[in-house]
Amino acid sequence: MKSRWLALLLFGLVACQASESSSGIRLPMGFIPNIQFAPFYVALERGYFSEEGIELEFDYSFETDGVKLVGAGELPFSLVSGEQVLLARAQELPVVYVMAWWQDYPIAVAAPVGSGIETPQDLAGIQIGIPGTFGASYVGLRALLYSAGLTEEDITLDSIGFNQVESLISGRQQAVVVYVNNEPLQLNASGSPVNVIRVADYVDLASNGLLASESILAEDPDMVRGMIRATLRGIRDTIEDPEAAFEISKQYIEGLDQLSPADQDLQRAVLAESIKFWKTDRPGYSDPQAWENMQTVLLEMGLLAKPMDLAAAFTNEFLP
Amino acid sequence: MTPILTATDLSLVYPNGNGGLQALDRVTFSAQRNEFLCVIGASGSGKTTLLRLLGGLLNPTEGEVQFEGERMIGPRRRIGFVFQAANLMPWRSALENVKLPLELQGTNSGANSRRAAELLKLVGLVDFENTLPRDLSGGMAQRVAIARALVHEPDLLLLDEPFGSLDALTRERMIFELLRIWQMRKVTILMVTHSIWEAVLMADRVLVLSQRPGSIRLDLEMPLSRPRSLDMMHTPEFGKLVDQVRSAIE
Amino acid sequence: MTALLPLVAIGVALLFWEGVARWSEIPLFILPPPSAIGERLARSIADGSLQRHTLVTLSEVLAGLALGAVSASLLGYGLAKSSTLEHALSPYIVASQSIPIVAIAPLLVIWFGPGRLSKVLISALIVFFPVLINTIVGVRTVPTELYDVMRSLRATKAQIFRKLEVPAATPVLLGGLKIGATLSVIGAVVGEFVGSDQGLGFLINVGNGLYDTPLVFVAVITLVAMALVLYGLVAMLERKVLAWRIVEVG
Repeated sequence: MKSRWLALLLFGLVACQASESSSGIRLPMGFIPNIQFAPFYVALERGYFSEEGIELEFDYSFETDGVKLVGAGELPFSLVSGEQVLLARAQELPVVYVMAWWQDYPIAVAAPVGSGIETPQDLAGIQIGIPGTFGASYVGLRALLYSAGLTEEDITLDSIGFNQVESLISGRQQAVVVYVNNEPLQLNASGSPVNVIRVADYVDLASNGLLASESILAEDPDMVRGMIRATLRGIRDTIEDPEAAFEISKQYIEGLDQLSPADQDLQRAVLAESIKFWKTDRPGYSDPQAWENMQTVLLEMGLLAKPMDLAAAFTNEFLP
Repeated sequence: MTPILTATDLSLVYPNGNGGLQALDRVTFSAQRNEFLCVIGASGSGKTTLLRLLGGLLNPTEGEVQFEGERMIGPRRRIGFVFQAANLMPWRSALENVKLPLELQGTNSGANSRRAAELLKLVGLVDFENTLPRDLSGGMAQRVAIARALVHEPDLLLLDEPFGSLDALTRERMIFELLRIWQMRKVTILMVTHSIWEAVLMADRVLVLSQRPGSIRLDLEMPLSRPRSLDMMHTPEFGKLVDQVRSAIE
Repeated sequence: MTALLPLVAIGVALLFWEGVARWSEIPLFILPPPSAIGERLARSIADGSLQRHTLVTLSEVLAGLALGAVSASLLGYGLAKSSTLEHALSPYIVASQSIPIVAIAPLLVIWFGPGRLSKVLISALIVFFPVLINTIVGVRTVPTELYDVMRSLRATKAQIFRKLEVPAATPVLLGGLKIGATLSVIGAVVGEFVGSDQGLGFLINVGNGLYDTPLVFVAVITLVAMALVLYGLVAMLERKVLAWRIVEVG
């Protein structure tokens, strides 16, 4: 997501590249190569995808571009955050969420320890920095405010780009919107401990998972099942042996191997924090209530004009 | 009567990292008030350099220039300059170009325009006040340049091959135009040229510069009557003067 | 008639686009037909959002353009007049030009906050280089002969600046400003992409985030129009100020 605007400029190129690949499946990840994609690296390395007859390639382009490519039928799958599914379907993109990967919404608000900002109620009257008023960060923040009976008028919101860590340390912002598994760890490691107000502790929202095109669901359901099976095996392996997953990821994330021991430990911590979001009794299962909640928040934000048929937006039908 | 301009032992060396290039070597002469002097010499004899020294645009390595009894250190308002090219400001009309010296002196602008218009009339460009330089012929542009050099009533006018780039007919016309202006304004003129007949036809006195380093090879009076005319060129007297100047150059 | 040709060309292109989009069943979010973009344009004008975002971007662009052009022409003049300054600074100026603006835009947002100031600075930065170079070139190409004219008339430094260097360098300077005018729009939008909650760059982000491709087109078209208008204004200024350069035909 950091490459949001750059990717936008390169949209044309990305689209061309994506449609060129015919040999296998290109999977838009929605973010740069990152340790949080370890389950996919593990599943690819251990041959889980090829066992299903899938030749997988990673595509680190912009999240909404991935959704558009799936909607256009150019690609079968993409990784997305829950709100994108509803926003895309509202614009009549034929896409369906087929596998929940993150069990909780990973967005949070972080404020310095000792600032007294510890609950959503404390956000009233506070100056908060956010990458931009769009995407998961914005949805998460609005959900958090909504849970406390607050609106955007009750806070001062600054769009600061992906500069949350710098903005909080410099004192330019009193609080910042972050990914639970990322910036708080950086802040703590750089000696600026923060309180983390997690969206997931206050409202259950549909989170990151696998998106598929309606056409692939109709034409090749077995392939969809295979894709999900392989991904879930990668997730399970990563949860069971994070250190092995970390070692495998070194081959897929350029520069990870060259990081200082301290920075490598930070990445291990990111992985450990992410894994907490993946543990569940029902792997891949989408909770209808989380989708209801997501729709309520998006309607309240004015990002959706009217309620939609949520049953068509996600399915648990292809889970093993 | 004291001379208006005196050059004493003027030498100029252009630095070139190799001991320097000597352009002029102890040039000495003087000009009387209202005199018409022509300086002539082969190319590279330092004619333009001499003119720039006399106008204060260059400082001599040795020797000095005195203008109205005072040592020259920089350009003077009482000296007007006409260059090889007209060098008009292309964004100014003919009138505005002529006005420029007055503007720089900070004098009243309504009076400036009247002065400039008078000068344009003097050089025969009454109907071209608002014409831009791009629409003027070479001869017209050079006449505007002469008007500009005269507008602030200088006592000395320095001209550097002013007709060099003009065609033969225009050149002849301009020669008599300048002589007419000189006679009306009563100004001292020192003109550099590379045309022998032009020098003989126009000047009271002709100075011949030697090859580099330039020094005065000949300082010769032109005892022809005034006003001058083209017919004079066919007299034996004129031919003799031309021969004298030519042999001094060669 | 030839003036209408571009209009005919764009009309044909729009019709072709409309036809392709309608009959090939390309989804709206991939390539909206002109009619859908027009409808979206009308809606964003009706609710006032397009005007609001356009004004924000326009104010950033104008401030950035002014800041960039003024500071660049001041520094450019200094560099053109002082070779010491130029030798000291030029390596860094050239190096600074190779910094991709998209890479340092996030830093500027951190340093100067997420408000309009950071966008103005990014815009000014992107305008800076072409104006700087053109100022240097403009001042350097003032003919030395015209400096001689000014010096022979004893013009002061301020007079040389006002009456020679400014008008002589203006054509080249305006050329730089024309390039700068279109670049300034890019600068402001890059800044808005990085972090903002208003402006046309923000509107593009919103359109992308909501899969509202017609809205993206509306914002992009508005940006193009803004750049064209700015370019046109500078070109108009150029025609007015530089009438002396245009040779009349016929």
